[in-house]
Amino acid sequence: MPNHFVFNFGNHHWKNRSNSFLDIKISTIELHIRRNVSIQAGDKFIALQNEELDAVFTHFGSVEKIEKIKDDSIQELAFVFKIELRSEGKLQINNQLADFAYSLKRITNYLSPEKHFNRSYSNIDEFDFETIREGRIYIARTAFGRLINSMELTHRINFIRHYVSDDPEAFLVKDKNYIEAYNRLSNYIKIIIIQPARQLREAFSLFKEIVNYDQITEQTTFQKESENTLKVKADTISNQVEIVETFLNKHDTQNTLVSQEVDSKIEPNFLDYLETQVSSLESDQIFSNSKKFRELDWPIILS
Amino acid sequence: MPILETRSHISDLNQAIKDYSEFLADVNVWNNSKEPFGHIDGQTETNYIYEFYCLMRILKDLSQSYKIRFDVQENMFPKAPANKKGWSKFWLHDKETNTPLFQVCLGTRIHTELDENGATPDISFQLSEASDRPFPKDVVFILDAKYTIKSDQSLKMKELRNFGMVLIDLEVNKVEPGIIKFNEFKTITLNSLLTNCNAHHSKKAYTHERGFKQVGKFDVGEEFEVV
Repeated sequence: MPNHFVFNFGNHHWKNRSNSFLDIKISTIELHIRRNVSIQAGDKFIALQNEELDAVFTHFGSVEKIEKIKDDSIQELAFVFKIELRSEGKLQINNQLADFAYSLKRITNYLSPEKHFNRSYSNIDEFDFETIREGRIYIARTAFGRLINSMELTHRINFIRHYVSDDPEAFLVKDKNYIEAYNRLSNYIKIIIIQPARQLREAFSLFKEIVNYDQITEQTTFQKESENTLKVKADTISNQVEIVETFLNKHDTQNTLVSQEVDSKIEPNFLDYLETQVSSLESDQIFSNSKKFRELDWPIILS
Repeated sequence: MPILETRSHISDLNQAIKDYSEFLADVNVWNNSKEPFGHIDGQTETNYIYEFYCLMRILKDLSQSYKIRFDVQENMFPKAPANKKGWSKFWLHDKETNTPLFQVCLGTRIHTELDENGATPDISFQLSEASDRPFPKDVVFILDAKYTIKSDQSLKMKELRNFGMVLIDLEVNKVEPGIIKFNEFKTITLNSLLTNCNAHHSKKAYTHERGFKQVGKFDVGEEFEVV
């Protein structure tokens, strides 16, 4: 059985790559390294390279031949391996490492997934290998993870508190259901953030009608009571209303994705649209059918 | 056989999630303090956006019966219950004579003889001569705002009983009906509990006896109902 690897060719231990590296069938490269390596002929690899500022999976293939050409344990980089790689295809769509933050079992650093692949080569299992090769993204887990981690810690904890209190088993059980988790999160965002956003927008508009003096209304703030007024940060309502407007426009208007597919009578907001997608995607089932995947921790950053 | 989604559709979805997350990251915190924006239940300061919304709808309605003056103070509006002194409030004046009739305060503490901390109704109508340290004798009418995540449910008996107790503590459980002249909200003849969820219909007699009404579905995009 072959092993599966991500070769990070941006790492400085890789040297002397041949011309048209990986764009031709057989390429050669050297690995200058401190330890012996476990790579063998027949192993499968995915190439990770830096394109501008992004880490991108560029090719997949197999190790044709690996040969130790130097073994000098006195020096720091004691070993040099010459490796022949057979390129079996280019990865072109869904190939950015960041896109896979919630779709690879290996990744737990959701904000900096590249940290998991910093080394010259990293072992992955066949499932993760196929995920990258096929450009599969687990939309339900990605939607859940990205949305929850884009919120402030208090919201993340508050969401968990609600989840555990409503259905402790669903949250604490090993087997996780990301469709249900996404639906709960979507509902949380609607009631805890979006409805108050609508209330603030509406209230501010009424406030301006009632007071009718822009110099005052534009500067009106909410703040906490404190002995030390210098310490208190006041929040200007008008500034927040601007942010709210931008957000609600994004949330409420049908985006191009929606209009292509959904019955024109209903105009779902983005969260509802995503809800219908998440619960019906065939491509997600490869992930939700995997026991190992279901048993991963919730991808919620708690720091 | 369902067709497996195309990779480009998945790619579009992924990008749309990424874009939406960035907007969510902006809106879920306050612009300056970076405190969470929204309704974090379980903390004392949670309800203030809904309270502000309720107050503005109420004042808009009252602007047909009264002249409204904004008494702006350095501290503007409180995120959590606060003492009255130093915070902004509104005045209701007689439209014709311009005589000040009531002060309307948001989240202001009312002290009582038995408890220095008293009670903090979300919206309190106080006599025009009320001082910056109000006691029950200064208060004529109160409204409380109750925002709940379970918006399809009804107000709980516990909440109704609790509000009834606050009215007794603040000695406003026997207000003269119609002391505040509403217009669209003219059925709000008693102190009221305003909420985004439903009123508890079967407790109508109970609440009226204790001097208040329930205003259900008081929210953006909903039809309110006074019970």
